[in-house]
Amino acid sequence: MQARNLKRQIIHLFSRHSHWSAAGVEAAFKEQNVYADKKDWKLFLNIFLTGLGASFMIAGIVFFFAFNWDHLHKFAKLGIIQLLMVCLAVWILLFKPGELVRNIVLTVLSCLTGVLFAVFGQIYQTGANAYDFFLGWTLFIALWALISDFPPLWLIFLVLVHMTLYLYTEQVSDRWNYAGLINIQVVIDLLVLLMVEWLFKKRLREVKTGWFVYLTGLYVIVILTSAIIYGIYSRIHMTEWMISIGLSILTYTAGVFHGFRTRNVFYLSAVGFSLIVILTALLIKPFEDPVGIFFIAGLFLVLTTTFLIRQIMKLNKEWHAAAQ
Amino acid sequence: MQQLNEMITWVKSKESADFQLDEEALKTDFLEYQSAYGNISLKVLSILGGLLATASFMGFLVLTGFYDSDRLVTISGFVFIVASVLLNNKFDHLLLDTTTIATHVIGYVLIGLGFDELHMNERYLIGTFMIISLLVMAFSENYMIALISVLVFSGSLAAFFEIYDLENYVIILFLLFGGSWTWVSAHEGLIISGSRKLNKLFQPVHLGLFIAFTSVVFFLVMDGKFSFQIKNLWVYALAAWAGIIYLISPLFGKNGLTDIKSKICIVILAVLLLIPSLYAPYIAGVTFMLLLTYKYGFRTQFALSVAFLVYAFSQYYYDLNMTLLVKSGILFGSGALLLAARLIFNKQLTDHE
Repeated sequence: MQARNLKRQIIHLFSRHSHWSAAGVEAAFKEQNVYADKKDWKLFLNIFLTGLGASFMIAGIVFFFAFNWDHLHKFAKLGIIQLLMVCLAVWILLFKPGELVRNIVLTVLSCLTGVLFAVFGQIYQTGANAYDFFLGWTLFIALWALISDFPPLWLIFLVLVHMTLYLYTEQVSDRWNYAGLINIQVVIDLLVLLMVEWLFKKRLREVKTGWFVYLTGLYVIVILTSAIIYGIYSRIHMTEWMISIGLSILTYTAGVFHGFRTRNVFYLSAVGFSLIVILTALLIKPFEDPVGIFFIAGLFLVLTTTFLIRQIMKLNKEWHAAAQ
Repeated sequence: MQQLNEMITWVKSKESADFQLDEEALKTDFLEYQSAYGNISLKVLSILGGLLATASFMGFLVLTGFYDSDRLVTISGFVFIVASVLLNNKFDHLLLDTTTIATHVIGYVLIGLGFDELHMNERYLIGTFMIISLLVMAFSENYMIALISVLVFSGSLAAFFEIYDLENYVIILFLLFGGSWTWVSAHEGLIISGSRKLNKLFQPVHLGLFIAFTSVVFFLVMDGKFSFQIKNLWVYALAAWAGIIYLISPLFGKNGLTDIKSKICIVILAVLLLIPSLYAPYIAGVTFMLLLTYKYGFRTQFALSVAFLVYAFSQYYYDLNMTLLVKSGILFGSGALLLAARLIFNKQLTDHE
């Protein structure tokens, strides 16, 4: 996708700086494979037929079960799900398909675990909290998430962990407050990130962990920012706030170092923007008069964002011009 | 960079000896594109910064009571729009994009608020917006401003239909947006080699038209769910199918897919998609979008069309007034047919290639 977009952009730039004829540009689009050719159309048909065919068939089966669900005996309901899970597990153990297939099946199994627990809860009406459901689900797929080299599964697992923690504070106990919950989440996420970046890098060879690291890192930065601003404005739960500040200093320095080491502007942008938001919040807080401060805040935002963008662009040029 | 040089050699080999190319300007532009907005973090940062700044500035305006004087509001709107375009043109520096674009949008909002306060008829507002957006496009080459102008223009046109309760004539919008989007996509070469301005305006205008057409198709999806009911839905299906046939007819010609098995697959697919689209023309509309974005290689728009297709099918089957059993039968049957076609097709592929 990137290559095609780049080619198109290059052709556009070319045409801008020369007297290239329309016919010449058209020919360039065709021959540089920006437009779809025969091979592309065959690929399209292939993927379209398979994708649509498979999804329709699966949807058909699901609808069939949905139609008959209420009439099924409770053992049948549980049995179907368990049978499906066992079959899938046996398949990947015995037949050892390719790595991608194995990982996708593991992910499907993890989702089915959740479905199984949900159906169980629906049949037996145990009156348990959503917290118990998520806790059970999280614990039971922990092992699979650990052994798989599959970022999407890690993401699902991490989301479940966060849901469990959140529901704990909602439904079970008041021990943690808003900032405390965030601190715990941050610690867990940072540990996961460390594991992914350091330990697993050795095992994972070609696995693309990039987007997972970005997403988790971004989440950490966002919730830390929110915790700090919450502390600035509400002035309660001071201990947790101190911890949040400590964690932020740790995370942001680590993020910036990592960004410089890997020559990636993402961390710098995120950390930079978070700092700008925090500073703006600090700026607005002490003032009683709401009118003037909005204007100043707006101005401050524009100036600092401009400054941040300029610095990052400079760095980006340095790093990527050097590569050329 | 390497790709750029490859392209340069390739073009030079194809054109005649006196082909003129301003290589330095080309390379500068290319590096700027790569280093600045080529990076998504920077794009997001600029947008976020711009939005926050806009929000706080609007908050400030509301609190000062500036909002109370309607004339001031309206005039400021015009001033903001003119000023933002002038500043944007003069500085042409990517950093100021944040502020100028935010100001530009605020300008439209203020004009809208002002007209509302002055109790002017809505059609004057729509007319004003349309004229302003055209004028702005004439005077600006900036990507975002051009995109905003196209969206404002098409949005105003659609609003015109809304206030006069012309739901049954939305086919005009469908044909207009669809037709212009198709024409622009098909004549990319002609447009970008026209002039510098046309070259720079191509991408935002194309994207804007895509968004406009998607909105009309989405409007068709919403038919019957809100207070309106569109009559003569088959017109839309007819128009969309005409477009689809236009797009895939080259495939049946000499240079296209000549083998009989591919043709059968295409026909099966077409028939399977035709039947639901008789009841729900938006399926034909989405298929048209899918084919056009694929044919001309607009990858992001293709991805969006795929997502829309998934949504469209889900909505279609959800709305279908049959029991789950019948639906499951239909789905399973058509799915099996498609997979069977794929198996035949695949066998043929391995036979020939």
